[in-house]
Amino acid sequence: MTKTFTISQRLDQFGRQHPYLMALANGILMLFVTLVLLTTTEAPVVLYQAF
Amino acid sequence: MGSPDASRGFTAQRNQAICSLGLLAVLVGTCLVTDQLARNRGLELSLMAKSRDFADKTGTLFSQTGNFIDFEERVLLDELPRADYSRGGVYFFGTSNMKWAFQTWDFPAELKRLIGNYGIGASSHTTQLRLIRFLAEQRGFLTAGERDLVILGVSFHLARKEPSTGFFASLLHRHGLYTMTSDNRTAPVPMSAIERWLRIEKARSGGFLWNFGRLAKGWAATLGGWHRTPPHDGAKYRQAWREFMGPDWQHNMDAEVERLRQTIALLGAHHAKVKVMLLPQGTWMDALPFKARYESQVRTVCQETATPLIDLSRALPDEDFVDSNHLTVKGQEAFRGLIMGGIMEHLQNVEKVYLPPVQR
Repeated sequence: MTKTFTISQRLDQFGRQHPYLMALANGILMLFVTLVLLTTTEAPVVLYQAF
Repeated sequence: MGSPDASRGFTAQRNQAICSLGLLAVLVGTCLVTDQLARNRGLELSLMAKSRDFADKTGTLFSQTGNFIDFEERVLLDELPRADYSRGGVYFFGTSNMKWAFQTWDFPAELKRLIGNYGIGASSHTTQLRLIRFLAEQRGFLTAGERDLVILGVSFHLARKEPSTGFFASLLHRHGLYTMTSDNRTAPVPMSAIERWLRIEKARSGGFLWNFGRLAKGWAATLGGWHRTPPHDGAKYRQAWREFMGPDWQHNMDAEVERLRQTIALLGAHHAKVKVMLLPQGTWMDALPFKARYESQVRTVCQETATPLIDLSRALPDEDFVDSNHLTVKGQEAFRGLIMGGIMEHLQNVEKVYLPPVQR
């Protein structure tokens, strides 16, 4: 019988096996999300029209 | 003594807290580092120089955004709050062809303190008047009397009726920092100094990151040799400007030229020196009815108000335009060469100090 794993179970397993790698991945993800949040703006970025 | 299970539970909780704090530190640290980089004036100058070089090589438009998302946001959130109007200076107002024609980013600090280019894209004479009123009422602009020289860089593009949802209104509301009062005046939104600072720094950091993206695009275009600028198409330009001005353009032009007259009167009431400058135009504009009518009306206003008129409308050739109305990097350099003499003459008269030579 094949045992199936959900994504969260796989992540949990990976985190237990490689805790530092998991921490690093989380850090990079947080860095990326923060940069994306910083670039969000209500500014009409494409104001300039070449005519 | 605690059981082994309790000890393991405590260790897990402690590790979880450390990880959470670590992630929080990444978030806060990213914001702080980005903001510190965005506030670095040396880095800003370096990025502007790179951006200018890429624009020159690819034949695209160079905009003095500093570390903000666009020119106007830099002016509103960075240049205006730092401006000291007590000594006087030379200040330019106009629409996009003014803001992009005159570059001040590479001036020495002493000159940057005395020269301001406050062009606002897609704006009208009504917006110019509103902006000047705001600066005079809220920022101490025009307090230096005759030591102020205000140059209104004009073209028929300013004679369009700007919708209430136009660019200037959206610029003011963009970060929730400014608003329009019921009597159509611009005013800062009341908020704590900390909140204001956070909103401005968020805008600065975001703009800084956007500009990195633009630089990467410019770098790729330079490497790939993609020169995207199409040849000038007069018929296409004229069609676009007819749509821009709208069917009621004559009535709107009359009203906007009246705002120009009011602007000159307001500046005169503060004893500032005023000049009107007809900005360079491509020859494709000649076949439109707007330019001739507008310039005729402006000449009349200048004569009636004894305001000096500088006519640069034919000063630059068509190849100095990147599109129908905005200058290439070479055109920007040529434009600066045309106007720097008058600027320096005014500053040397009012400052009585040594001003370093500026590349024209």
